[in-house]
Amino acid sequence: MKTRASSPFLRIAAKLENLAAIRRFVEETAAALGVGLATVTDIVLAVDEAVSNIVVHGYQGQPGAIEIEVKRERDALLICLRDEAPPFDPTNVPAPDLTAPLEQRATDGMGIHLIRQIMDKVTHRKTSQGGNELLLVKRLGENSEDFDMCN
Amino acid sequence: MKISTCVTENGVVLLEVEGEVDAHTARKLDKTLKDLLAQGHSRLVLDASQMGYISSAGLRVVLLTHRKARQLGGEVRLSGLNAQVRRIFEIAGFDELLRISDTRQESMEGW
Repeated sequence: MKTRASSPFLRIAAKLENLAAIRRFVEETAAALGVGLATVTDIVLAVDEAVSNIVVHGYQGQPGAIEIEVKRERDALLICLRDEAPPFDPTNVPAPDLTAPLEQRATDGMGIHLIRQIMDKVTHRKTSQGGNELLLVKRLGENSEDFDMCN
Repeated sequence: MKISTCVTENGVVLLEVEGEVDAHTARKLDKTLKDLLAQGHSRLVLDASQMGYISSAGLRVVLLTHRKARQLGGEVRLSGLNAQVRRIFEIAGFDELLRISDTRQESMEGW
């Protein structure tokens, strides 16, 4: 783990084999920032889904790196994911129809559905270097302060 | 993640999945389940009492297997989910598509 601007961050190869290490990093960092166990568990899943999307749909098997920064801003936990993959905005993926019967139930889009259910805000933007930046925000209290971009 | 399988006396296959099922490890689960379906097994009980985690990649494998098993006259049943894993199935709406029991004994009954 390294520290950039006082926030813990992890830079790691964009491989599905690294998902477990990424989960441990997010789990330990969020807990150290005072986030409760149940919320940590949810956030770990959301980050796992976001990283899996970056590896599969962003890099599409090509080598690359993902940077994960976790920080607490008062009553919110912010997770910023950065990559250098071709632009891929997971927030454009339509939500699956959860009322569809088994035979018609879509299996794609479930990851972003889980992220949306868990996190309070998901924001994507293309970076000036041509990669992606995804900000996941989880509110930890009643404060309605807004967060638009990674800083 | 570890998977152990056994075929019971009445032909139901019991799978014990231990550890974490994510987009990496789900491939192994997918292969195991596809092999069982190819061998004609369609009544599958997935004991998740030792499963600590599952992501959408694992849910996808379970759903696709359940769909295929139904076409073959069987189904996938789940048992022993911990609170976190059960919550993920519920958020995904899969708890209404699959039979989920507290114990594997309940899942083994009534085929």
